[in-house]
Amino acid sequence: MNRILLTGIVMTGIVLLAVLFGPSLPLVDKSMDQNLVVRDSDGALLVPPIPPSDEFLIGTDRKGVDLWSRLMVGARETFYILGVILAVRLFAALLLSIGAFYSKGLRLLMDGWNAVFSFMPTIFIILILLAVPGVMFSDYRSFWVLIILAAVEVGRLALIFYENMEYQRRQTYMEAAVANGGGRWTLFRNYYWPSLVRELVITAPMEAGRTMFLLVQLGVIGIYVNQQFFSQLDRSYRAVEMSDAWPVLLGNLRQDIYSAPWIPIAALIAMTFSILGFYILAEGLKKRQAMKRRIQS
Amino acid sequence: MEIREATPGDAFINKKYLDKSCSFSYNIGSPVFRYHTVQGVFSMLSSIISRIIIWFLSFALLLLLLLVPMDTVFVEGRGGSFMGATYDYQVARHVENIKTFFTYIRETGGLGTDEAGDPIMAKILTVFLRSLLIFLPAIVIGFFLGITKGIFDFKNRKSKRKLLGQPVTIGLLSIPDIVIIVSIQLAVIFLYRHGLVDISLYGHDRLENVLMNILYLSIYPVMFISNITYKTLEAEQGLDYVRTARSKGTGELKVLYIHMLKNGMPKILSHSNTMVLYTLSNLFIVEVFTEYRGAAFYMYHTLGSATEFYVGALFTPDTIAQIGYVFLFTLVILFFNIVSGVARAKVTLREGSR
Repeated sequence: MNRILLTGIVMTGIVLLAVLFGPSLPLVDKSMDQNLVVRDSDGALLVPPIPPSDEFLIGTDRKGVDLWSRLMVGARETFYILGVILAVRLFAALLLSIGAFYSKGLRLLMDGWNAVFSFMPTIFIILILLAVPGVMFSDYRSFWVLIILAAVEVGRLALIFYENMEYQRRQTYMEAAVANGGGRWTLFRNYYWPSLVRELVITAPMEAGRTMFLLVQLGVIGIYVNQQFFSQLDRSYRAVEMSDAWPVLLGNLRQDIYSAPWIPIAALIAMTFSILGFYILAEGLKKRQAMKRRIQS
Repeated sequence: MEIREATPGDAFINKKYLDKSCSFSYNIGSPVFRYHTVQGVFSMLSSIISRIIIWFLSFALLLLLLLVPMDTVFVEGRGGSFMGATYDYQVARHVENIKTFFTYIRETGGLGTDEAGDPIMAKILTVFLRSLLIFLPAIVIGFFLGITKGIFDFKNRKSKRKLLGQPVTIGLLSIPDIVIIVSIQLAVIFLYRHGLVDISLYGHDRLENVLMNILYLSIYPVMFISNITYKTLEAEQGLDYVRTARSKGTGELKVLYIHMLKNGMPKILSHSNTMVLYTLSNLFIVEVFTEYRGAAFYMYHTLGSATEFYVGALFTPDTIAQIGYVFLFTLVILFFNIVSGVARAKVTLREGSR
């Protein structure tokens, strides 16, 4: 009985529940009304952010929106962003690694890409790329941000897939397959691709966790996927996140820690829970594969 | 749970190099041994040179990105409000920018002066040293405490204390550092409200700021190195030489420290590049979050055009300073790249002569 896998499935299951049925879950106020002033039981006036109470399970944010509703409703958007980044990343990495396996030119590209990126910390390169005006003022800024967030890790991921194929090639039974006259396509379909799929099953939840990790980090320093520029008092313009995604709740972290700690705590718990869920799921799947292999041999 | 960390650049450079230099001979003085030593030195040199070349390429690429022309046409609405901006990239302008930059460097013989007439170079260096003041101790602590914790985890992997060992390491490695940082800060605030401690959480000029930031920054390296140490020791565990040493009556501790750790060292060191890269990423978050005015803080705010700007002009055209920061940061990465490469080669060579 694989307890790790079970834990992973339960944890990601809970997250999935929020994504699919978030707005219809109990205690969720779909309309996400802003409660500007609230009277507490003694009749005193409260201004948002309102701490956790009977009326607001885990408090409200700075606009007076019930935090629990915001988390549940925002789950869908958060995981939509995550899903797009993940899909682009995995797809590009698969293409690159398979290409590198068969073509020397692409192999050089992959190695070169990784070598060059090994001198650039992730946040560093994301910041520099996002500051390029072509990206910053693009009408499709969100799209470009997603692409950049996906692209920065493609090389590393491609290397994992590539090494998986190399490992497969070194297996002794591959010689038999070649000796039996397996062509390139047959070998790929019957050996390399299944092996890649096994790797993918573990890597996908792993990468989902890593991506969420990155979104947390970017949220803290105020970089979001969907943002619009709003005028500030000093006539400068500041990017303001318009969405209900979870990382946005970290935007005001420094003040919130003092005056409304429940806001970042709720966001961090939600995100950490899903990160751990993904990692545990990946670990459980890995264990399952290992157990299967043992039974087979 | 295992956090898989591929080491991008390392894998590229070292695979070939390790394959060669690992093949050592046990006979000192034999021609085979001498040949391998010479080969080892050569591969070490060529690995250093290839690292420098790759560093140069990455820096050139970053330079190219930073010198992208900023010709943005702002569309102003009533009263100078922001309606939108159009951007039109032209290669000729990009080339011109690059030329201007090199002429500027040649003419000023440094990085020149800023609007106030102060030399940019001096400012960059001061700020950068401030960053190193928290970054280097974090790395050193990460290395020593990490190996200690790794050994602790390994020694206690079967005892009752195991729950404090590997699971804690993996757990702390999996959750975002900011969660730990926020917990520490909340604890400090709680204690402050009860009049127990008085620590300023934000800023850069007090000793406590520096110490707190070192604490925040070192969490990841400690757990990372600890995990790698544990994995390495686990891998060495079943090897023949360990069994031989044990069967000859060598004490458990001696086997662990003298034999297994020494043999595992290259493996541990080979991951230091990934660790440094990640910690630098963290440096941005910690500095920006705690308003520690180091190089990462200023770089974030000069690049801040991604989140802030004025109509008519991009928030900071201070490209020169950005290039300075990027240069210094990549130099740090290069340094650790080479240190890990050389250390690895040294350990392997010593193995050969033993």
